[in-house]
Amino acid sequence: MNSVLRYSLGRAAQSIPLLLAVVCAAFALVKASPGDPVTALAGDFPISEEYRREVESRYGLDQPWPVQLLKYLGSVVRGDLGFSFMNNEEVSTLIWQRLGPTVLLTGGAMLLASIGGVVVGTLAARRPGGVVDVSSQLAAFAAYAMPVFWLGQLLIMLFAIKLGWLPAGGMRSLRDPKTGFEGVLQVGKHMILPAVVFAARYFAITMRVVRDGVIGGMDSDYSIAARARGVKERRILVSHALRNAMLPVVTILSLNLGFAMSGTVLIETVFNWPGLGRLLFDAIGSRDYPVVAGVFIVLTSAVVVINLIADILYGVLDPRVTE
Amino acid sequence: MTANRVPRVRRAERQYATVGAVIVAVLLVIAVLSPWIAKHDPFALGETALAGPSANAWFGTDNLGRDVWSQFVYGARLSLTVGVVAALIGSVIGVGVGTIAGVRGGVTDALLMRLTEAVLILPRFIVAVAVVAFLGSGISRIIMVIGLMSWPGVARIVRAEVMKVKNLEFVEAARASGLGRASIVFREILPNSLGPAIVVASLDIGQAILVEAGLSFLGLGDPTVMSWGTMLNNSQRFLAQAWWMAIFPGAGIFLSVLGFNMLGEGLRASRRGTKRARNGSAAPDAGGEVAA
Repeated sequence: MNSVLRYSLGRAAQSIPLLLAVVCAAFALVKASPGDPVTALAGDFPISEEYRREVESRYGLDQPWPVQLLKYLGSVVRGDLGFSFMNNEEVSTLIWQRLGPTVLLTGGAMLLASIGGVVVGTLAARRPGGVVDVSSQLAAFAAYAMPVFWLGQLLIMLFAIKLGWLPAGGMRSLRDPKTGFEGVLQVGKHMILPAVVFAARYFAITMRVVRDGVIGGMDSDYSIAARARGVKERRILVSHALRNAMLPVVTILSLNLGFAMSGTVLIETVFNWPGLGRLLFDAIGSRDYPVVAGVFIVLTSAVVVINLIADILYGVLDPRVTE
Repeated sequence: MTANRVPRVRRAERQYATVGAVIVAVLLVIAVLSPWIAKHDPFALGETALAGPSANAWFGTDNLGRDVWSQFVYGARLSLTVGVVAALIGSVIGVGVGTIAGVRGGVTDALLMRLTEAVLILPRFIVAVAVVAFLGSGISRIIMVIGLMSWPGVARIVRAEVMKVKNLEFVEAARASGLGRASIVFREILPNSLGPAIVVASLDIGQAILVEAGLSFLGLGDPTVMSWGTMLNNSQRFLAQAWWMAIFPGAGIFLSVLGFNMLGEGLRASRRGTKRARNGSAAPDAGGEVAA
């Protein structure tokens, strides 16, 4: 456990400069944006003289930039991401309100992708070069090249507009919002299309990793030994090859989870899903710069932290990497 | 078990390169000839808005009566330019970083690889969104941001190749014959290390096209040039009335990314040649970032 602990601390130490760099980058972007820095911090919005002075003193805009940077770092570390004048709300409060839907959508999509990927990947591995294998490989190619927002539009046109089976966007029905169990069903129904679109690419990734892992596992020494003992092929497939193929799946999915969080911007925009991504999109449209900077810091830090957790998890699951 | 099926898979993988090359070539012709094959200025307002595809307007017209075919054709030009130039910027940086790390080794290598990992971890799409949202959406800035975020893949593969090549006999021979350090790097090591980098660069073109399309879809595209992503941003409000506004630009993005991905994977498969075991995958590198 000692080496695992040392490895984890080492990885954590590497992440801290990166997190600092992210906040510094946000600061630099605010500084480098054309025009008045107060506009960049308060948003492109007519503001009162009083508020202008408040912004100036809060960020010390009359002081040299290293002091400003330290002040900015200090407030971000304290969880203060500034104030959105347009929403008349603290940025951190806005982000906190929108975090739930994003986590729900990301989690649902990842669950869908991993279950589907393990099932189809195992089926493909049973006959390399067979119908399932070749068609799943072509589907993976399509998924990697597919712009998610276009896939979203296609599914909306088919399932929402033409067939009328599923809602085109949002998380709840605006006309008839339900609560309790019916509310859960309603959210679930709204979630199907965005979750499927979101899952497509991660489904493809999981499927290929499982397929390769299982094929490799079927040829490995432990499978040959099991076969020699007279263990049935199906049993070797499930309890030997598939089990050993699961570790890379866990790693790759958790590594991709961070990127997936950041992919939500496009999907939430297409489906009008009220999460962090939609918040970012709306903030860009209304030039609400504090919100843009805040969501940038939160999403990027989330990616860094989730990657760190994935790395540590990998070290715990497979202690060989820590040596 | 089913070893006799394996050659078929491998042959299919080599054909990917051909299919990819054909797709890329067709789009390239459209992009180069766009001023001649577009029937209208892509921004010119027409008289009939939201008209379906017809002999007059092959791909229909948009909500402002603009000709979707002409927009599509200029969109091809933009996407290919962004993809190729951004991947080129990324490749130049990547080859530089990878070569320096591989040749020098030691502390330089360790530092450069930490930097590479850091850039690799950052979600490049979100970084691009933030940069463009704050600094403005000129097309050269968009290309620059994408290029500056997309070098780690090439850097890692070039470094690995350089490390492999630098101790081979022919490099030893060049060193023994008194060739200078620079000429060894440029004439012996580099030419023999760039093969796999071309594969990664080809995949990077597809990723760059996706990032640009995503930015434009969010309304962060350069308003002075026509982009497939901008067209899809526009189509979002008319999905119920005008399917043609969504189908054609989306298919353009999909096909161009597919083309470059297939080209890259096909090249990878043929490079591996007969050494390739049957348990290899032809799907793009699953650990890499998933941009848009």
